[in-house]
Amino acid sequence: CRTDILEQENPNAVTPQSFWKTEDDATKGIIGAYSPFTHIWYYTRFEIFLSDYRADTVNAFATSERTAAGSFNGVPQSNGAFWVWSAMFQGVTRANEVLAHVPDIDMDQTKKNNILGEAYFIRAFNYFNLLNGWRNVPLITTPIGDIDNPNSLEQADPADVWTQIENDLMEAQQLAPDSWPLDMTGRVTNGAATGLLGKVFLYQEKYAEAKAEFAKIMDGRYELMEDYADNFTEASENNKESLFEVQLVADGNSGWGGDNAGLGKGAAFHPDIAPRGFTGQDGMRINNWVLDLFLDERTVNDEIDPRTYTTLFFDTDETTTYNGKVLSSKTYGDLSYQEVFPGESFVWGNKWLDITFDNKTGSQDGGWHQSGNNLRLLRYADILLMFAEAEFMLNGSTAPALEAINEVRARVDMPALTSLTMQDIEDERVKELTLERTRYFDILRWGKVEEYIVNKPELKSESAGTSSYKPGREYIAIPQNEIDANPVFKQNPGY
Amino acid sequence: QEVTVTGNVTDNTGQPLPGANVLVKGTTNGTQTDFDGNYSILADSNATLVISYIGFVSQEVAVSGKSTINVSLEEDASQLEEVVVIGYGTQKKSDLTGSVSTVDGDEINKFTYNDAAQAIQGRTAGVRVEANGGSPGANALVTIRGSSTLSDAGPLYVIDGMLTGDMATLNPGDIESISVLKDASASAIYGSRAANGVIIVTTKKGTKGGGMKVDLDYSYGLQKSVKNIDWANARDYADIVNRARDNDGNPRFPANDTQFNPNIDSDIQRESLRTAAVMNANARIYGGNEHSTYSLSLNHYDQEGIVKQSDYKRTTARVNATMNMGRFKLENTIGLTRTIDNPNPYFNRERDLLPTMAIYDDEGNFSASDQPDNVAIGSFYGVGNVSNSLGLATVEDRTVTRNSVLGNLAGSFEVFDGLTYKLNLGLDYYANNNFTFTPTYFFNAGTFGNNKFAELNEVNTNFLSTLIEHTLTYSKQFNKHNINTVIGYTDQVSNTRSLGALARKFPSNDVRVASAAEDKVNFPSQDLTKTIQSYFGRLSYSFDSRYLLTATLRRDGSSLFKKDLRWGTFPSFALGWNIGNESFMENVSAITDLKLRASYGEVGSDNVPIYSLSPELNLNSEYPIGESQNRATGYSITKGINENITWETSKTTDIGLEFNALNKKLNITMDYFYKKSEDVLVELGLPLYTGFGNRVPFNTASIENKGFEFLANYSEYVNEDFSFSISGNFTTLNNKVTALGDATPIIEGQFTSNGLKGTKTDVGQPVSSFFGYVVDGIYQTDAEALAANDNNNPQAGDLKFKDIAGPDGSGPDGVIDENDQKFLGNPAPNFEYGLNISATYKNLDLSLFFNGVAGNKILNGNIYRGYFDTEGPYLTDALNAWTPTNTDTNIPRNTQTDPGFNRRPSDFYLEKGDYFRLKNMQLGYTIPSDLSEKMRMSKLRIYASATNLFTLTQYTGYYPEVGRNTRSARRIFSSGVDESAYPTARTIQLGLQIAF
Repeated sequence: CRTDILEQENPNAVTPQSFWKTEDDATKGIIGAYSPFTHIWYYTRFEIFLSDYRADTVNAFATSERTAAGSFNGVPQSNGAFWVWSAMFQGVTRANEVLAHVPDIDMDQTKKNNILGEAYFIRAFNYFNLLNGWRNVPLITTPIGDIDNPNSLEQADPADVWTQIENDLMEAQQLAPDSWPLDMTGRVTNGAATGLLGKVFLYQEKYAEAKAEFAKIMDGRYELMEDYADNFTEASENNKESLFEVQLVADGNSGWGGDNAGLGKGAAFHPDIAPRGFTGQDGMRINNWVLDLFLDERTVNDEIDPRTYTTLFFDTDETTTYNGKVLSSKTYGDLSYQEVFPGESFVWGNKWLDITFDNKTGSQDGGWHQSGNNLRLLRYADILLMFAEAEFMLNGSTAPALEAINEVRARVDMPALTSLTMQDIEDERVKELTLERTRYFDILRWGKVEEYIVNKPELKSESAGTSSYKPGREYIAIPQNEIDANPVFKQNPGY
Repeated sequence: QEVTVTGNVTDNTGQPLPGANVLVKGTTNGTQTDFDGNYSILADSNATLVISYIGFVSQEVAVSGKSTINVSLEEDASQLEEVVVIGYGTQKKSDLTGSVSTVDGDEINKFTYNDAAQAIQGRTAGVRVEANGGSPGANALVTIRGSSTLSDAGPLYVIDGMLTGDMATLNPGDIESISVLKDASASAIYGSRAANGVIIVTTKKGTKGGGMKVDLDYSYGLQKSVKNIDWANARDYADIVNRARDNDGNPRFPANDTQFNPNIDSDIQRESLRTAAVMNANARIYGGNEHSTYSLSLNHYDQEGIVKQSDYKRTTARVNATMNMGRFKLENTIGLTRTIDNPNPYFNRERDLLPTMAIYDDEGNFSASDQPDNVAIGSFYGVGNVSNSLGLATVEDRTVTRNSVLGNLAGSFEVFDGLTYKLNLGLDYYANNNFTFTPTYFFNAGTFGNNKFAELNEVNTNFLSTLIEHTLTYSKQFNKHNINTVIGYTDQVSNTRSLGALARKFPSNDVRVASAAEDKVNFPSQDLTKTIQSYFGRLSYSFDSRYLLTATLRRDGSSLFKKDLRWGTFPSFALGWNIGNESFMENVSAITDLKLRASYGEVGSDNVPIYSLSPELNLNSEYPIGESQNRATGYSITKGINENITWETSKTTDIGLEFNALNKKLNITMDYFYKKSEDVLVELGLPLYTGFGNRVPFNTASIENKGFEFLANYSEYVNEDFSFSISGNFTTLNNKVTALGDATPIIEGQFTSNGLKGTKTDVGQPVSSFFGYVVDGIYQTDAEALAANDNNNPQAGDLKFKDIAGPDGSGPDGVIDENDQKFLGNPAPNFEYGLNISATYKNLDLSLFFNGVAGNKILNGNIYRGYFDTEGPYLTDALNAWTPTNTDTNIPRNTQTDPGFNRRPSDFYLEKGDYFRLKNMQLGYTIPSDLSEKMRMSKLRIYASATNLFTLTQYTGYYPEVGRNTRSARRIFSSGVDESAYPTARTIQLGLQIAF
């Protein structure tokens, strides 16, 4: 007989027990917590189906059930629901592992603090997304292995989750560095934590606290880029306007997924925005009211707002001279609208795509993950607009509010506003931030989902309209897997 | 003084016995009778001849100076009865208490197969064999007595004593016999390995006496697809899409309308199919003497695929030898196999080339567009994600090469009369190279139409499994008691180690090794070891050949479970009663050899991936960091585990009845079985908020299989010119999941990349049942559609789905929603049958083999693609869609936006899977022996055979034998889902057999 042959150790893997010993382990652990951002289930692709695809700006085609949430028709089984949820929780659980283990590692204190700050930010950032997407989520702040029965966690009171997010961001603010050396670019800074904390307060209508946080970072460390389009090109990633962006790289790897070697870490959502026919995905067009809003006012030179060309692909012969360049409505391959869609008048997305016509290197159109163009998720223009909003809600149309919004407008040659209404702020956010994953959540926090989306089924005419809406469906259905696997989990109202 | 003795050997009816051994006693001098039973041998006039033939009592005849000795052999009552190969031994059929089916090598060798498992299809009751489409290299799926697991695990194969997972490397021509152990009484001796049944394969050994013999067999044939699918041509395609776009209020695409090119009408299916050759050549040299036998065989099988760019080649060499020295016996078998498989995974794939796109450009290169590169493919043709399946299959280089060794070496020593010790050493080894090189190519500018960087994906895998087995057997007969026992110890260690290379950007398309690549992306590799250790014993006892008892016990330990859950004990117990041997049956002549048997037993399976218990860190959770955006290494925990997993157990009760009638010409066997599988491992999705991505196994499911098996065999020897035999069998099967535990219904069976799934596995239903809506016609008016209150927005011309139930299982509620889905049938036939007819008339021989299945459904993915998928070709029948003027149709209106969600999973996709076919037919002619002997051949036979000559079926896909879809990793849940599996061929072959 061969003795002891039944004891087989796994020679393929590092075990969790032998990990979390050194500074290097701490670094690998925190990188692992960033990693889900580049999972195809999250920002490299699927997240857009649960953010911009649900907004009133986007008229999504009914390409598959993953776009169904956009017409309040989502089902708990949809991979749009559970993939995105899953990737966000991967961020949470990995941050929890870091927060639980890194404090015990004997290492440089500053580096340790920085890593802990990043982990707090990552946990808060994901919870912010989860809360706005699903509202009723379990609040997990320790490693899963330390929880007795992880299969029967209850969903938390949303107020408790908000509190946790605030606390985490305050920790991150203290622990994360002001900046990173060049070889660490892309990691979380205290500026990012502060900006997000302000946003978190704003979402809860804690305007004074929000304003205070925004004010902290309006100290000159961030500035608007001279050219608006620089926020959406690969050439000017991690620029002075950027507080937090998902780092993307197109290195030839195109496999779907997240945690395996050789998988893509480039943008794969471009085909889901691109005008019909360019990428074969054909996922959406932009509702006409968005273009109308852009065209409602002219620049100081009586031209079309330059942001229009960056954001949209639309039928016009007009051009705008901006920053020494002549802008016109062009898409992939420097093609004009009439060259591509003769006789048509639909409006299409253009932001993030081939807006510099550099042989499509900036944007994907051939294969998955073919663009390394970083996805900016928090930039200074947004901070300024949120500051203006907070200030307006506190004190009305004041000089500081006007100053902030006019800084954003001046960058794109738009005339300064002399007085401010909430409508102005809403409109400016559409013009500045369309297709930057924020519009739906703005509508949601303003409590205007019914008014702006449900009552305008024509905005979802390409799919199923909005007749499926039931109160509660402004949030996404809790994934069926969670209901199945956890006996105490409750489905969201309306499903 | 030596004399030449000639003579004739016959049986007691006067039938000549060809191949009988004639041996001069005490020498190695021997010969065999020829085809007419004649022999001639030189012997001393004082010598004694020993005349023997399997199944007959040997006779010794003194020569005594005679020159002619004719012998009539008596059937040996004990030997005549079939001896059946069972686990760790053989047993007379009359002593058998378990349910064992056997297939004789002669039946298998008549036809050529790429996988020997196909040879047992339809030949035994209770064994379901299903080809996985018609691809030359595809292995058959074998399910014994219904699915009793929720994984893809199949039966255990024991090939000449070596335990292994399949028989794909075997040359079917080498097979002497196959025994299928179906009930637990028969299979429990394999304990933990036997939950899905056991197939024991014995290969051909040499024969004693008669000198060296040579068998040659060569066949060559042509194959052609049984049927083609009626895809729309360019004009029809354009009309269908135009109509859909018009219906949807969307503009038409130029390629289908203003710029329709009447010169392009591509038929990628026709272009991809061909008439293909298949060749099989077999040579076997065998012989032996009193002390040793040998058999050496060589085989080469070369099958071109009926789909271009696919083929399969297998070359095997087998050496079997035995040696007897007094009480010592040595046996060895070694099979060497090389297979080269070039699959074509692209044929008829989802989103294939549109008929409006040219397959070749003007220079004859593959293409998928005739537009300039700066024209957006999608806005011109309407589909952007389009490639050229034949082009891709042609430019890409895909080869799976496997060199394998399967063999054993066994030595046994008879300690004293009846007690034998045996050491069996088994080896199963392969080196597998899986090579794919995708060069740069350009068919069009769309997402899948081109490849900028050549990519090499190559994985080398070495598998080594070694088996050590010690057994002690004891047989003793005293008075009317007959005892046969075996006890043993065995262990098996299997290791798989692989190293791969994924590399991109090559200096040229002709350089195809990883070292030349600019980007060496990844080296996927793993090292997996699984071990098992077992003790076993069996006692067979019979009294007076009337009362039979068998008891077995096996105890197995598996490295896949933790220490205190590692060992499983698997007992079985069986009783048999040879009623035919009772005195009161003596005068009954209508029925003889009547036997009743009953058994109960438990068998198991350690059906989990290796290292399932081992927590591990994922080392590939990377994130691009820094100005250069290099991927920084990140670790994470992505694997959840359940430490408390243990053996799956199947408990089988079997009651069988066997008898002969009509003077033993008719032989009947029937079995009823009830198999209850408990603690079945089901993979449960943990809550996703745990961050774990894997499914974790739990022993919480139960599955029940019930069935009845019937086998009848009738042989008639009419006269010396004409004889025939007919054998028929059928099986009924009832499969049901009886528990899933915490696991929720398993929804799988995806039939399109758009995510729609067609099967559901739930308590009370068969595994992998089809689930969805029920189509109830077509809405004829918008008002009717609106009134249906469908959650979607159907209109006139859309499919009308039945209102079946409301929430909480109440009756129709006036709303069409997810509550209106129901179980729609299942992919496993509840009735299967086979019919085998063979006849000889003078020198002609004919065999016909029919088989069929009934009661199953197939999810025909062509229906999805042909009517609903907006990204590829349509079926011609989509022209017959509903329009206000074409209302008498069952095809819904053409639409690409599909607001009524016509494409939802429903019985619209389901078709009957019943078929009845003439699977094989062979007609042979043996040259009269006087003629062949002049050519110094002992046998010369020519034959013609046909496979799948006709198939009666209503199924509209390529072929009703679809296997399991490969889209999901857990393929059992995609049983009967047909996304255009590789078409099945009709084959006509001519062959020649020569024996020396």
